[in-house]
Amino acid sequence: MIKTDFHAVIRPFGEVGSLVDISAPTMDEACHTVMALNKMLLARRLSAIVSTTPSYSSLLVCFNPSLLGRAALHDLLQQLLNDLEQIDQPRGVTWEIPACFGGRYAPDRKQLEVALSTQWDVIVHRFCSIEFTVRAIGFVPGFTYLGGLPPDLHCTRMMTPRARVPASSIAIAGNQAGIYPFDSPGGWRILGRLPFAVFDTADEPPAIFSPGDQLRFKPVDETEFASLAEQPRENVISVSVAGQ
Amino acid sequence: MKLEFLTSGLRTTTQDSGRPGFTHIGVPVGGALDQAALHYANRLVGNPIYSPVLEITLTGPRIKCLESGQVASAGGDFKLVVNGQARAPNTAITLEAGDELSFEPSSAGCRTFLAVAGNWCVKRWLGSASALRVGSHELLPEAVWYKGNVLETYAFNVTPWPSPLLPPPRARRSILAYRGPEYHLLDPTSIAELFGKSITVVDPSNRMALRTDARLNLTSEKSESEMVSSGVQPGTVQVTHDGQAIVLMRDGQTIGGYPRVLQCTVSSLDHLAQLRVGDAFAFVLIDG
Repeated sequence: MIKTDFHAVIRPFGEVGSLVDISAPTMDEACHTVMALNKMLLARRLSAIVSTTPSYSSLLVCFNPSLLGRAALHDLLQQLLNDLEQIDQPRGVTWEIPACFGGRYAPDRKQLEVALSTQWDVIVHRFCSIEFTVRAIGFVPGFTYLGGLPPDLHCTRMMTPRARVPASSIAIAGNQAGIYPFDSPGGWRILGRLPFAVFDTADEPPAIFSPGDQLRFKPVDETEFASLAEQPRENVISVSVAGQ
Repeated sequence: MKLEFLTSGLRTTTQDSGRPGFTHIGVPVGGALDQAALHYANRLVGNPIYSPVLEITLTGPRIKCLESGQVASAGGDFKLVVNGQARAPNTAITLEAGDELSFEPSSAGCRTFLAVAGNWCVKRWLGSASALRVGSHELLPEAVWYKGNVLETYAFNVTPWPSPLLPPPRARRSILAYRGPEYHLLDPTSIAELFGKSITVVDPSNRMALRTDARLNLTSEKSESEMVSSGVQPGTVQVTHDGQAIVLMRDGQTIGGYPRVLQCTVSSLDHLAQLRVGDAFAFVLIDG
């Protein structure tokens, strides 16, 4: 639970969009407020709300203006924000996720050891001690942006992006960590891989994580990774709801 | 009716009104880039207006009719050619088994939409039959048409509507837009650049975004590194690090870290969909 002092600005963004920007003492608090607002808005189950896009410190709400006017939408958002200030909002679910940080799954190991002047097992131990928050899913379907990377793990992007980052790679760049949903080009530095897909069109919903979820990584070796990769995803990861 | 693809054309996909409601996991709304054309083509053949259609880009496919039925195309001023003969636009055409259909693009558009009468029993994902390509991945591979594929539709047990709709207007070259969340970052020269002269669509432009030759400067009030990723929509005009203005389209990204200087109107999206690389257009600012 956290209680946050925040300031919100609600503005029009085109004919069918409105944008809520939250400022708070820390990005973590701003992000948490955005996720809580999004949850409360969706709980109203209004057919006029076409889609919502929570991302870091903002919430984009796309609506159907023939069902709900902008003034009424802004009143509703303001009401929800007022309610948010009065009650503590629970955090999202927490996932414990096995990941392999060795061998071919960690191609940037040497460069990261040099860049961070730290030994690999120390880097991995540090990374796995952090509770990350999903700050956004997007850019492409399923790309998972994780907030919470401590300053001692910040690093620059690669000068020349890789042509192919394997799907399910965990990578870091700047103050962010992220998980790639598909094989794709990318310039973030790869430090490990998950033994399952984070986005699959055959799944309902297709993305396993939601914005606001908490993630903690648990290191496994290559042999264990291989055996986990063959199992159904639900056997591989565990999830707990805050407060339970 | 039943249609066989003899060639695929440049890119021919199934598209409908898209899959709204999944932007929180990065899935764009997608759907036919020219929604007015989607509605009109469907109405011409008596289909519900949100039925899937074939979206045909620049070079159309060659299609052979295996079982008779009605087709109609709308958008982009393409000509339908049946057995080598051009047919009148904006009407439903009855194809008999053995007829061959092809398309003649015009310089007035980029995409046409072919409605095929009947119920499309095609695979849907998240409620939509629309193709979506992410990098080299097709998220709904069944929605991309290749040589040898057969499209089959099944008769509706309803009387088709008469067609009271007027054809959609020809693609407009003036694009209406509201101020975007970071409009204030544009300096006066850039505002003149954005509204004072015509802007040209450049490569690479596709269903994700139209790139332009407009070069804009942003005031240094907020450096780009300070901007955290925030929601974008189809029709959002972003300014990249090197100053290029890009217009996001229906398959575009869902969040972005570039300043969002304009937001095009919903109906302008249909007109943007008809711009080809090399075409010129102008932004018109709407107050409000």
